Amino acid sequence: MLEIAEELGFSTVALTVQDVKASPPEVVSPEGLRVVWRIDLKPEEAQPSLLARLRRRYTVIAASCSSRREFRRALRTRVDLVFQDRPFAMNLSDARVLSLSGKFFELNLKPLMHIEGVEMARLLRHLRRSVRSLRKLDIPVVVSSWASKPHELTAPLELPQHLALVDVNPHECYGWVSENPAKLLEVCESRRIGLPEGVRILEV
Amino acid sequence: MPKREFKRRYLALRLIGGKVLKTALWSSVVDVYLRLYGEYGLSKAGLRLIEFNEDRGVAIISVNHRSLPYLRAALSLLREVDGKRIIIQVLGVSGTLKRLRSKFLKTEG
Repeated sequence: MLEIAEELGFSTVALTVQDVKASPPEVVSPEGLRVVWRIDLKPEEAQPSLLARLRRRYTVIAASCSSRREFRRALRTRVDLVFQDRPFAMNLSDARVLSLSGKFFELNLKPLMHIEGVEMARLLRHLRRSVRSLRKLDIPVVVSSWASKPHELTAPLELPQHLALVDVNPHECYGWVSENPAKLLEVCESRRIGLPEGVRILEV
Repeated sequence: MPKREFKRRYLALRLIGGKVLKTALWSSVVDVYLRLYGEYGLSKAGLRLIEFNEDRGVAIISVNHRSLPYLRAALSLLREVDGKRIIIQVLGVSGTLKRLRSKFLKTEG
């Protein structure tokens, strides 16, 4: 799967672990592909003491939300990234709180591949509303294919193409698969080594 | 000088995951486009399969330039052709076949 990811043009991929007790296993990545580890937590699990321990093992700490209530709860934690486990429409008020929290938001495009008909129409309606709010408030968004099997992988430049289905020009969202993920990793690395917010290590 | 009402765009595609037949690929592309945008959308897109090399898994599809983003979205949702799991990678898009072949398909052999 990593080889296909490299072939499709990815330079970095994040592999996900969902068990807090597990450690990231050793993987052999193809040359030219960087692998980072990420852990997905439920908002109630994201306690500061646990996050401090997990940050030593994982580069990115994410919180999954399946409802608006969980989403608001996740925004009060110190995770780096929030995503919707079960898609729901994000309104402008949710987007404002997200914007103030300074967290990244992940758009998961995997459900689009597996549903059709009325379900698909409903998901696109939710997605359209969420994307409108996210873009209005300039929230840092990361688009992900959430692939768990090789055939679910999508080339990085093809990921924003899905947004044509919600009336967004994909060319305006290329940053969601390039600059924003890079920025997220930079922020996560800074947190990992304990740099205060706003301080950057400059390489000359 | 007369202006063309519908400009065309040519897409070079590569299939990753296995060999598929030309007819199977084309019916899958049309099916997914039809499912997403309906008969009206399909009629406006003017999709055409220009060529498909089954051995190399490389195809060229032409589309009306206004429907290009919709076709790319549809292609990114296509994951199965004739029961085979595949990934479609868009190698590039061009306004002429000559440019498409020289820019994106030269290294493909």
